[in-house]
Amino acid sequence: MRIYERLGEGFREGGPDYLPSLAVFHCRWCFPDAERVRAMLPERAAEKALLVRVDCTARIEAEFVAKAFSEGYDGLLVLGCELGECHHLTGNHRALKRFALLRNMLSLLGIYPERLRLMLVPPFDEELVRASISEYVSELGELGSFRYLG
Amino acid sequence: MEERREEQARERARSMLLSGEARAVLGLRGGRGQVLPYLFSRPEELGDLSLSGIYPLAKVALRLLEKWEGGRLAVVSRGCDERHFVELEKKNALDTRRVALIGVACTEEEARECGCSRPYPNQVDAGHPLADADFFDRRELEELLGMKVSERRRYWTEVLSRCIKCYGCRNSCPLCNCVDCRLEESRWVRVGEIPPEYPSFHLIRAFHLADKCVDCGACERACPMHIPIRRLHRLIGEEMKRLFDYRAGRDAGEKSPLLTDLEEGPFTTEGEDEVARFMEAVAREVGWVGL
Amino acid sequence: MDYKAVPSVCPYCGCGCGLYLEVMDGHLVGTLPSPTHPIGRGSLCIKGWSAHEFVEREARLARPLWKRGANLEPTDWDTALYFVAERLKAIRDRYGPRSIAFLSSAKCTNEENYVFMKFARSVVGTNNIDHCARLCHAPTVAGLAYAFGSGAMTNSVPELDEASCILVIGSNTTENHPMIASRIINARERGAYIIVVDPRRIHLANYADLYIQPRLGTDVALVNGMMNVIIQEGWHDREFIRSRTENFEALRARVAEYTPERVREITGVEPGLLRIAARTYALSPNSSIVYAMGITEHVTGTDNVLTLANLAMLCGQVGKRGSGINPLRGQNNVQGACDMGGLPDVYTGYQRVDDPAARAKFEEAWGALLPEEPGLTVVEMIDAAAEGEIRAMYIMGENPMLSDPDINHVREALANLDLLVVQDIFLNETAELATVVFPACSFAEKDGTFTATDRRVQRVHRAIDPVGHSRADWEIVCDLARIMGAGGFAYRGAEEIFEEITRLTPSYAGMSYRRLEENGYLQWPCPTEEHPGTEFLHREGFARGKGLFTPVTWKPPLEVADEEYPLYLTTGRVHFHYHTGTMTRRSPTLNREMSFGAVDLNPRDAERLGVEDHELVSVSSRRGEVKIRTRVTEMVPPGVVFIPFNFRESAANALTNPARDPVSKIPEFKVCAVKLEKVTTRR
Repeated sequence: MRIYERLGEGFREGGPDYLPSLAVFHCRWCFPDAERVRAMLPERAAEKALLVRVDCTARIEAEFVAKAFSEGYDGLLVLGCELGECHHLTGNHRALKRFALLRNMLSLLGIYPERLRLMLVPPFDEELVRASISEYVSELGELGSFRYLG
Repeated sequence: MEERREEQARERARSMLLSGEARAVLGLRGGRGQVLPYLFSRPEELGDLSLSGIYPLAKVALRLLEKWEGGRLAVVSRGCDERHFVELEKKNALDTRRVALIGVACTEEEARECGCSRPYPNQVDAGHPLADADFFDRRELEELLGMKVSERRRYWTEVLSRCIKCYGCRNSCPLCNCVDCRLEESRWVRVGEIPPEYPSFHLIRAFHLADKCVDCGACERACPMHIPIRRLHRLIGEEMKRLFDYRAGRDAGEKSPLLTDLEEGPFTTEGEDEVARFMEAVAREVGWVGL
Repeated sequence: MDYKAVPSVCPYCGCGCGLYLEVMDGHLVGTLPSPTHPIGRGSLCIKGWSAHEFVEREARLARPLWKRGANLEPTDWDTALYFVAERLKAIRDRYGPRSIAFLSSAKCTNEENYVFMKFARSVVGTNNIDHCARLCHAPTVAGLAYAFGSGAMTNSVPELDEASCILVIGSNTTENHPMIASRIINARERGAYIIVVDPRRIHLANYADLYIQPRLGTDVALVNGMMNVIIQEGWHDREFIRSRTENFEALRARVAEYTPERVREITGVEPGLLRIAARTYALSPNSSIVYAMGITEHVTGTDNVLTLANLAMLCGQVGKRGSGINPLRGQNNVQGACDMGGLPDVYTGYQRVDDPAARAKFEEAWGALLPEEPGLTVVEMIDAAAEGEIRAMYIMGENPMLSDPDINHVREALANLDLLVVQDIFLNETAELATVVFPACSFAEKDGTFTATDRRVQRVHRAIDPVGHSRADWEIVCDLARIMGAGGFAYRGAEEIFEEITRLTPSYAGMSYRRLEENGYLQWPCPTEEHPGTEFLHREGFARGKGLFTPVTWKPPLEVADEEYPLYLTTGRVHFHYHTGTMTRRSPTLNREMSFGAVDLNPRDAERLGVEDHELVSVSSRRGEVKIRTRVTEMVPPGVVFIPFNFRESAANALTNPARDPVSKIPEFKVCAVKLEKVTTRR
């Protein structure tokens, strides 16, 4: 009857076949083209994914993260420039620190920190990026649905 | 003891008013079963100055300073009040030249009730600082840290769903003073619904305060639904300490690590590890190496 | 620069939270909670935190207005007062005092309600005075007075902490009495068992140990069923019944008809749940009932209250600390407005107008002959106005154009009057129809007392000067009385009025401003100056002597869903607004949270009707139609829709049924039949 007792109801959602919903924030300086980013996602996840282009990874505030989860996305992927490559010089430095804290905060609030992933990657090595994302998506699938499983 | 402390605070206030060091003193006024914020501008009123009750006076001070003209405003400040002013100074939210503090050390009883880890200000004008006393009970944090992620999810969903969106946590917090509050924007937090959706409201507020919260407990005291918000802020405060060796309210010269570059640190050894581990993970994922 | 924090009491709901108004250079700049206050304990809800926001809005009425042609135009006080005095006299002389009716206000202070009541009865000479308590807790006043002898909350709010079982029935406590919900959650944390009974899955249901979802309007059957089980199992308190009550055998016979199986047929509640509820309520050491409009706003409102009183007496769960029957009063001073005799049949402290001794006492005190026959109630006044029997109405701080049932009918009735005087702080929907509008002061601009839901009398203090040329309600009424030639209205201040109240009202007799200031509050009854006030009622005996069991038979709602109107509509309030929104909708914080009303609709109904979330639809009943957006939510069960009555653009009361409870005359706000249709947009 109490709220937390109902939480387990969706327990079966998850596992290897579960298709996670993904919000992708991509930096406009290294990944300017949303369709190209979409093309790098695993085929089935791509349809459900929300793509948001931002000016810098440092633009992604806690609000973005909170909103993505409260909207029910299972994972939040951030694609940005490698260190040293930031258009704003050190935007990605701040993003790194912020995400280090945010991931810990998510865990404290009962959300698997793995649901938030920051990738600072060389944009032209598409194979590498594609493989990393694919691995991330299957990890998310293992975690299962955010709505029920933390 | 208590009377003596109160007398010391009054004496300090009186001399500040008489010498012109302050134009008025913001404190609590007692009597008639209630204690309320009061602006003492005449020395003869100071007999009513009371130290019973813990109230985030920095919030009131900020309001006063918006229209304040000429002379300084003295504020009766406990340790937590002083730390509020340190953080406000960091945020450029007030002109410290216009503020003077009358430092009050908390009694053991007060400190115990608050679970305070530093129940005195740097500058003490009244009372005796309980120097090595730490009343912060880490057990309740450990209980939460010992849980699995999904157990914490249950715990927080349960307590946060009591929230009736009174905004009392924000309203009572002297460090929650942005001109436009994100918690009021329907883009981030759906309006007109109680409880606000998990985790938006509380995650956003917690993050905004991560590098500011001085653990005064005003938010929790203002919460009508007894949500243990302070527990969340304390956990995050510990995280800030572990990752960045940062404690809010310690020193106005210290910069928030969330606003600086990686090179500027500071990291504790442990924190460095954490960031390094985190970056290694990034690197591993993408075959990208080096810092 | 000048700054002060002035102690006051929240002007919204009946919780009566203490707060400080922050005043800077003569203007309100903020609200702070009072850490030492027994109810708020340093907290407020969002309405409390925004209590100062509406006070100095530009839309505040700053000057008297009077109707010139089709428009309301500003005038000065003398013109307005003399005009009203002349017209009132003329109408009284021509049609008699019973052609004039008064609506007093649960938002005004006790002092103002007293003066207004005195004016109606002694200057105009009519008992036609009532107020919105008729639309919320009239059945409580009638029912509990009948069963116990006193129609008020039996316990204090802080006592709920000590209850071991709390039965919340027909109260969306978290949204409408947040600080009382805070106590209920407190109690649960200490191990109390919480039972929530509500047709809607309200916020508090998530914290209940047991949630029961009966069909609309079946409370009597449900509670009779609980009593059936309790008596069958022998869980009732025989000693309490023997020594403190009467008429038990009649009750036993009646509830025997309500077997769990029959109750399931009527209410849809499984016998197993009924049994758990009955057992826990009966056998817990301290059980408390908390109820509100979900119980009272029915044509069977008084029956509903009586049946709860039966349940409490049956189990001996009344007259103890933390245990009793607790109607949560809606308005900040609705308890006070009732206590002050803003009702057609009683003077202050529920002294009856048809009791010769009481009447003689007031005649002597006021130096006037007083009418004997009780006057008309709110809805009767409106009917009488429509029929031309009421020629003039004087409305102080009320907005029947949104708050009364079937507002199309209200509009016609008010248009039919020769004189409509409205005294308010804003030009509300009713004031727009007025002949004369008097601008009044808000709670922040005057001294006085409010009586909170737990009979707690508390002081409000003048924090700022009156806005514009507005004046305190009592000053306006006193001036009018003097112009009409009446004596006894020359008060120097609110305190002098309060002294007169205490002289004439036994339950307030021991109170004074001095004691209220020193103690912070006093709870009535407080008969002598030494008396500390009363935390909970009926400790040793009931006010009427023995508690009276009244067997009650379940009756279905008057309007039943049919083919043409297949859905049930229930109405209520929302967390972020207060009543007709006169104050809250002018508060930026609250209006930002919620700027329009929506109809709550179950996803299954939405799918069946082919409407989406947030779609504009038309909801209509036999009496009217509103256009409103949907909010698709599991909170309402299939077949039921909910519309808040706070919003003028989508006024729920255009739809509601004015059918009345025969005893208390409360209209059936909580159930009527409606249909919901898509609004076809033109291409």
